[in-house]
Amino acid sequence: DEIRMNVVSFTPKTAAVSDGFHRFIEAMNKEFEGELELNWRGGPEVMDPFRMADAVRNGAMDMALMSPSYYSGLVPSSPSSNISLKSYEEIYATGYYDRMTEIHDERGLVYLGEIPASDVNFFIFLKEPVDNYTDLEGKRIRVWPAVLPFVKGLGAQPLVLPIGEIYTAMERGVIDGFVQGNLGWAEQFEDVVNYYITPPIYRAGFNVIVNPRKWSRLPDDLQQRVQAYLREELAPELDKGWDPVIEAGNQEVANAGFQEIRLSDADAEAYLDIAIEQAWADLETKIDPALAAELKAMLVD
Amino acid sequence: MMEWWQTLSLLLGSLLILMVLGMPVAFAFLAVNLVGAFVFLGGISGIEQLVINTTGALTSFTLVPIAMFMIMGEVMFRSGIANDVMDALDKWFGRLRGRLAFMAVGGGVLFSTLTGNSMGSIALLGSSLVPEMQKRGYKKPMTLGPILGSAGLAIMIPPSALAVVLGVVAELPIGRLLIAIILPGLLMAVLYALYILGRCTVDPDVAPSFDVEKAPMSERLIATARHILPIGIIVFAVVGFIFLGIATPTEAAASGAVATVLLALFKRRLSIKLFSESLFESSMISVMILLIVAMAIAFTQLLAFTGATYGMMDMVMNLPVSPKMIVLAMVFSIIILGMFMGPLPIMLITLPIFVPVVIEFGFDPLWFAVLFLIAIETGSTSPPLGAGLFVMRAVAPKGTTMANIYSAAVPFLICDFLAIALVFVFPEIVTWPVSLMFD
Amino acid sequence: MTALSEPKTGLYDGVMRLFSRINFALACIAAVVLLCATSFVFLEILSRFFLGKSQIWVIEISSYSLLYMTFLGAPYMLEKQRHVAIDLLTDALGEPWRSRLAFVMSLLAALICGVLTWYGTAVAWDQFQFGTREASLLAPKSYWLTIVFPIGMGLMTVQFIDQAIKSLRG
Ligand code: NA
Ligand code: NA
Repeated sequence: DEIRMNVVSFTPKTAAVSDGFHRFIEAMNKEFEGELELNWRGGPEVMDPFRMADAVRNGAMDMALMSPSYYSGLVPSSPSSNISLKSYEEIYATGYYDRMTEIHDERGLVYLGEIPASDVNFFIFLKEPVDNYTDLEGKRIRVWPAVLPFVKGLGAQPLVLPIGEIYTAMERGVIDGFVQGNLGWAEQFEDVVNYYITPPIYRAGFNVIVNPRKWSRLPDDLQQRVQAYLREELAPELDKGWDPVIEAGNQEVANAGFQEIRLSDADAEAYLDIAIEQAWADLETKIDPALAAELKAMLVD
Repeated sequence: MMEWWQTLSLLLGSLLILMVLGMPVAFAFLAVNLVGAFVFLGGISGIEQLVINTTGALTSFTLVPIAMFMIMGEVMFRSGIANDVMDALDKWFGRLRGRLAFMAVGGGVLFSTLTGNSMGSIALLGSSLVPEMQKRGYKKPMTLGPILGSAGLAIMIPPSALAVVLGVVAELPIGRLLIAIILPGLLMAVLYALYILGRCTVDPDVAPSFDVEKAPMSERLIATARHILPIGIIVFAVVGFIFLGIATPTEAAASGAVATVLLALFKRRLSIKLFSESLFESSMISVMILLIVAMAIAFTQLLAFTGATYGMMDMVMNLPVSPKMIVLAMVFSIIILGMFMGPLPIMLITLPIFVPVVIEFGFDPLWFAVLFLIAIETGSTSPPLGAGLFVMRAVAPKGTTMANIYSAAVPFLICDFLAIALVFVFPEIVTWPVSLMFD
Repeated sequence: MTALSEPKTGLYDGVMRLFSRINFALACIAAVVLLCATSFVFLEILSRFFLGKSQIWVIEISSYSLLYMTFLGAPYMLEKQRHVAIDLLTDALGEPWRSRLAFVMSLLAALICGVLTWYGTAVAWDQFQFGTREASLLAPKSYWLTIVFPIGMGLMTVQFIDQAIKSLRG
């Protein structure tokens, strides 16, 4: 008998980053046709993205495709996968995903694997130019919790605002900039953004979490095949499949006329170092330091 | 498996029945949510998730200004600031019939520059203006109606958080969109004013003229300086703060509330007792509004999960009619959704489906976006379920029934439909200002 | 309340008066919560303008305030029968049907609020035991937020039961 699962994603189906989710759902349904069917019900219009992991845990939802930082309240070490510059295959080789499986299991969730997006990164977008990242000191930068330590580490003033207010806040100068990926929005913001800093920071990756009761309804053999298929076959493919999306994003950034502020090699290294080290230092205060050290060894060289 | 229209009519039908039977609106939503969560979201887990979703819906900074605008409204009303303003206006427009109704529309336009949130506008204008207007003998159609009509302008005149979100979701240039909404917004204001003029002429009883003698110029100027100019301080604390980049639109509600309190203090109209009363009332009315909003959000999520809303979209898209008619059908489906759903979920559900089709048909997406916003605005004040109507019921003086509110809303809805028709037939209303500014 | 009716209903009315005091006290707290939230947001504006420093906790705290305010204030509003209702049919009905309808609706609403009090408590308890936090900057323990839901729902259950009883008494 075919087992059907209700799936939600933390982004709307049409968002640029949902591209990976479309590819995931399609591939899974094709590979396990007749055995497992994923029914993607929608995104934030169906449920508050910050409550989706709770829904998976209590069984109101069978599966969720999540940004790891959206359920750090349930699995505090989940955001670790972002604080890295490695590709999926490099991380896979360290056994990180097996470790995350154990950790999720302790927290009442089945960790099926990652929909990696190692080449999808984050930038600081600005209205006014800077010569170097050190000029960001004192600037007001809109953040979300995961990138706050980085912005603080730069000596800038982090601000938390609802997404809907970023445009007006930039336009009126309440903020000087914000941290964001570059997919699917640049042309809407062409009037208020002029510059962005490279190199980009961090890596993206979206976790596939499943309700344990629902998961246990799958025969053991199917469980193993599904997990192996995602981790060994599909994920590396998904990781490499972002090029058209990223290319489209870059094109939008170019069309919108955003200017790149490229840091010199030495500055870039220092800048990335701040990004990685500050985020890890912050995570170390939130989880068992031994676990933090263990995960860091897997994700950062 | 139920068809989408069966699910939709079952959920909406039970909601309506409970409401008509007298169950308070928030609890009717809650009842349907509870049963719906149990049925569609996996039994007990679904109920647990409903608890999580409902509390989650309320921890939202975007809703904060509603409560703060309530403080502004209550303090303005209780301290007599609103009364003073109307007295001063009487001195200027002594014999103009329906002047306060015009003022409600003017206030709507003014406060729509303050906010991007029509609930906040209704809360503010409803609590400060309606009691004063009724005291002066205005009938309900001329007190409730103009405010219901014009408060929706909040999303049609920048700053408009909703227009920005629409720009992001529909992938339209936000700067252009913010210009594109202005003329249609003003058009709506003019239509409202024309209606008031017509109604007051035909049916003078709705707005008594109680011939106030036009005061001598010196008295008028003094009254203006004492009572109207200080309002400028409040306006500055909101619009000025946003414009100068001191506060975001959401934060500006707080500076507006503080400025109102300071003004009342300065006029020596605010005792500790009066302040506590205003604060207590504004928090209680916010409670009513927010409870409905939270329950309605959970209801909307349920509808989306069942696929009922997507089913309706599909039907609209596949109607066997001309492209223009399909666009019209889209607009009407948004009005219908707007009656019982919040604007954000409507956008998330419909825009990704509609906008590519509109572009495919060769229409200007900005034109569609403007129609979309007017439609959302119209839906939110449409009987029987438009959330704006419940907000009005919450802030209006005792003795105001839902029937009063429904009948007051209808003429202004007709104006909205007229605005939709005009924009639909003359896309230049949208495209001309944009081409003037950007090309 | 007349002295005559006291012997029969003294205990019940006494209990309801106690609940009434609780509702009012919580409503006052709700008003203070709103005052604090507004002040915090205003101080954030001042702090950014004059000191160039942003208090990043303000947005989060004020959105939690909204949740607390709503569920602390809702029982009082219910006691005063001020929640928005569509009154078209109830206004048109005469007695005794109006009371009968009010009885059924109040009982139904009491049942719903009762169920949600139960499961609200269950969710908060689970979050407490599990150590769930919010995925936010301040990352408070989630049960601190959820707990206000069953508190409000519980008090509203009592109020709806009271309304049902009162509509029977006529
Ligand atoms: Na309107
Ligand atoms: Na506005």
